[in-house]
Amino acid sequence: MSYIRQKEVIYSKESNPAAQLIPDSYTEITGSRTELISLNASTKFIYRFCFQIGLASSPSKWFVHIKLQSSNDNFTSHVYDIPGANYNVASDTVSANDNLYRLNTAFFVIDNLVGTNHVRLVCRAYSNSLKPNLHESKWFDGIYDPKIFDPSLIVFEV
Amino acid sequence: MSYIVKKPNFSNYQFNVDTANFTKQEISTTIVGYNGTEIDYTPTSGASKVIYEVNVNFSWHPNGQGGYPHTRVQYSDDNGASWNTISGTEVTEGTHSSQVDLDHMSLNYTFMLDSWSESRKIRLAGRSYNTSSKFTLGYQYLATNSEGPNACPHVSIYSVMP
Repeated sequence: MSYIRQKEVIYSKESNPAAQLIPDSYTEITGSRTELISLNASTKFIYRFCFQIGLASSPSKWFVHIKLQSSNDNFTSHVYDIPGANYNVASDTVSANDNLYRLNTAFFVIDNLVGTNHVRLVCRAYSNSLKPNLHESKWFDGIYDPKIFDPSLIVFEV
Repeated sequence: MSYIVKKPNFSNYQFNVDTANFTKQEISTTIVGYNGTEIDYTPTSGASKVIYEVNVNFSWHPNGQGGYPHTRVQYSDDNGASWNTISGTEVTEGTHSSQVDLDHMSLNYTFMLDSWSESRKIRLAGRSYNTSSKFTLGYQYLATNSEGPNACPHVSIYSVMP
């Protein structure tokens, strides 16, 4: 018997999110959560999430740990780190202040999910003295004029 | 087993990789379009979103203290006579230091835009934060103090069907 199975394609944009000052405990990044439905563990998903990392008011440096998590109860109580889906991003952190702003794209290939799961991106600062601020440019076009960058998420099954 | 792609899907891809005409671009405090990022695009009828992606090379040149691009997506409905900024696309990247900070970066932009009808010009535009945070796009500084060929942006744009 042959049948047609439809592949998942998910896209979303978080419009005008609040800026997120990231502490030294893991925090969900606004706009990064979605639901995935998978029939078997061999199904692969491409997860791509684009968001901005920038400066808090003080200090002028930051160091952030980022990882992808899954849950079969929409993160109520069952939360799992997805193996291999984690990375660090940092400005200069030792002596110089380089006042770094970056647009960051998290890109992962996900498999070994079965059934209905949610995934999300979380991050934390290395320490309270190296906290980043997400989604916001406080200074723009030469003046203090906070601008929000809308993060976007694309997930598709391959 | 047979597969079909479940809607939403992606369609109507267009690209711009202007190796023939691109020239590096030093940008200061006046908002200008980024060379090589402009594209004429008509979304597929019924599209809900348009995804505009740009990869552009950034360098500290000429100031040596990093550089601060304030970038945004702009569109024109009058063939480039006037440009409008799309809200939610404004973003800062780069560094600015009181010390020497010779950064080079590959800037990868993904913008998810609300769709539109008819043809429209789309581009990236921006300026530096101030005159000491100027930057250059497409500048290739290579070994033995030589300058390589200018590195043009790579641009793609496509429609998302609901």
